[in-house]
Amino acid sequence: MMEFFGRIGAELLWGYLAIPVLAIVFILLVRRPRLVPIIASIASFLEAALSMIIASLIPAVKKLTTFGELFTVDAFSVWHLLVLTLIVFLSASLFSLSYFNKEHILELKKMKRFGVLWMGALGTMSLVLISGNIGIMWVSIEATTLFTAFLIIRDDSAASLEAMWKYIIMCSVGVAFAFIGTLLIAAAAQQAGLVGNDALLLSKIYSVKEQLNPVLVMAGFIFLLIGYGTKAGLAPLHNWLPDAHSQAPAPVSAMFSGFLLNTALYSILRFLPLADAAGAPPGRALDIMMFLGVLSVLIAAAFIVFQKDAKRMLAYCSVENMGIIVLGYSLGPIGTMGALFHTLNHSIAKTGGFFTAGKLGQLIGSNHLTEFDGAAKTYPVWGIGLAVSLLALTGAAPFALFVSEFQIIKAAVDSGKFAALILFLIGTIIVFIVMLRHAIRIAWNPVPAGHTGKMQVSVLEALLVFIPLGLLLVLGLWQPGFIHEFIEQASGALWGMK
Amino acid sequence: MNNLIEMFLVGILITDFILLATGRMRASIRLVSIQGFLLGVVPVIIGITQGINQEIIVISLAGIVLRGIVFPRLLRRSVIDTGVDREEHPIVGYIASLLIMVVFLLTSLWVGSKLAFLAPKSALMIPVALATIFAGTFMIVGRRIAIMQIIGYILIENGIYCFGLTLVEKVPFLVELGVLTDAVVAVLVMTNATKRLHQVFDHMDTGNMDSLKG
Repeated sequence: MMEFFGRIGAELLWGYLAIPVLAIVFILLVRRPRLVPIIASIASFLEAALSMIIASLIPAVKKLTTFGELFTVDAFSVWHLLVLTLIVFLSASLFSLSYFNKEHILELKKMKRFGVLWMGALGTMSLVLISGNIGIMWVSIEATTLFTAFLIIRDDSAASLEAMWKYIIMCSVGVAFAFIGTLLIAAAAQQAGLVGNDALLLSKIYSVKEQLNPVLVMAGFIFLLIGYGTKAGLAPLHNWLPDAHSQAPAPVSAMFSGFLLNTALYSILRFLPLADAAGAPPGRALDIMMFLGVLSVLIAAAFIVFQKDAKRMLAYCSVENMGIIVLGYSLGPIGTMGALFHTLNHSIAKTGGFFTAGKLGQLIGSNHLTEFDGAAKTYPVWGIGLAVSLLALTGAAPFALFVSEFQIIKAAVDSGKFAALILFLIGTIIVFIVMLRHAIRIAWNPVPAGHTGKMQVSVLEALLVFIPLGLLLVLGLWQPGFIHEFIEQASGALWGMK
Repeated sequence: MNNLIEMFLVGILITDFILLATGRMRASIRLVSIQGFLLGVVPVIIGITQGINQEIIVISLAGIVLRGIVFPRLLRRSVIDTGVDREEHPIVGYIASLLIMVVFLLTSLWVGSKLAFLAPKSALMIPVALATIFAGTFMIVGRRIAIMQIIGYILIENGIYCFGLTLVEKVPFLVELGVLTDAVVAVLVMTNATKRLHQVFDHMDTGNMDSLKG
């Protein structure tokens, strides 16, 4: 019986490609710009439903594969698929319904361009997560850059073009280096006796990990880390990130920060246990990861202190959180559960943060933080939403990010990595103080003259702001058993990959 | 046969050197095109010695058409659209660039000798691949004009392709095709972007783009 479900489930993986492709066809056919975000929302809803179905099958069948293992999904990929489709894309697509409202709707041609690129980004990001072949994984990551580059520019402004150019050049070059890493790993696999396609299949490479040449694996991992790390926004390769995040329209920033970075990180993580076991000397890969993670937290903290622009501040906050997640994984299996939980929490909080900051920027006409004074009084939903999002993002106590950061800290103590822990705490405490100050400013500072509120907020908008925050609160106070079990399985799938 | 491969590889190396020594766009585009042809023929020569099949021919032809004809055409269109034909003030001067390229070459030869066990076909393959990748990266960092940076990106792609030829016995057809498609779209996106950059900035000097800081 289970075998039957497994076969059906495996064929369902094609849906991750079919849904965005169909959506693109529909978007190209429509004649009214309003319809584009509606189609995107429906497609995102379908992909989220697909992920739920796959997630319900995984605990029983462990792994779904189809098309000669080109598509492979286990609990680790499903966890990321759920965050991508259910948390980030569904909410960002629904948010784009309100972001592109009557005043901000674009002309048909631009709206269609947005829709096609948006769906293309969804399709290629899903493809990264379901690919069991490291060559296809690379191709898909490169494709995400190409689909998302033009999403950054909405209004051909000089700043947005500058951000786009930096993004294309840095990420294309970075990802090109990841290809060298991919080839080095494949070469090691071939030396270990794998032929043809098998040398690029992750499961096959893992099955011969004892025979892999350690030098090749380690060199390959370093190239992969630099290459995909550029795209994941790990310091010091993060330069493109604050520009792209601050210039893009709010739904796009939310998608960039909420998941595009995680997509690249996911690709690094797939190689981490391999490099840990087969690299020279064993364990070195984890040390390098830990170094990059802590460095990202510290550099992000330094930039957050002097930040004047709300969206740039959120962007640096992404660099910080990627660092925290990387630190979690670098502690090995015991840190992985915290890192996986933090991935979910960060994506929930960050989409909310960019929605509210974007909407406030749109209403106030500036992203400058001093202009956001007292925003909670003039624009209650957005102002309170942003203030609470900032608190949640810094890991303030009742929210779920506090719990996941605490899990990572505990893992660091258990494995005796005190130097990294202290540097990490310094960074996060700085971020906490600065962002708390901004949250207070938004909530209680006097409103600058000339800011008049009174602006209709739809039920959908309010829900999109407060459901995620409510969710973070619930997850912070009580973690349902099934989530805990799923995280455990995802961690097991990553480290015990066969 | 190995001599023939090495002749082509030396040709690729020479194009790298001249590319770093010139600021003239049209000449640079012609050099990229020549390099694309040279690179496209290498798999066929390898194929002749080790058994040729349809996949090699398809990949090789696709490579020659794209690297030798399509990329240069896109770049040339960009040059015409923007009317910029010369890089006057590169960040790193041309003589200095040449000297740096010599350092790159020596480094590549040294790394290549360490990795020689990977390249049974020709001892020059890995050094040339690495030198081309270094040259491309250097062009992206050391040149201001957007088109020159795109050429740098193409050089990196070429170098990686060359690297792939040595490292992996047979990259599966599907992956190879995907990589090529990505390269095409990337160059398309980039040339399209330079056009917009030119419309807005009225120049393509990426060194002047400095509004985003901190």
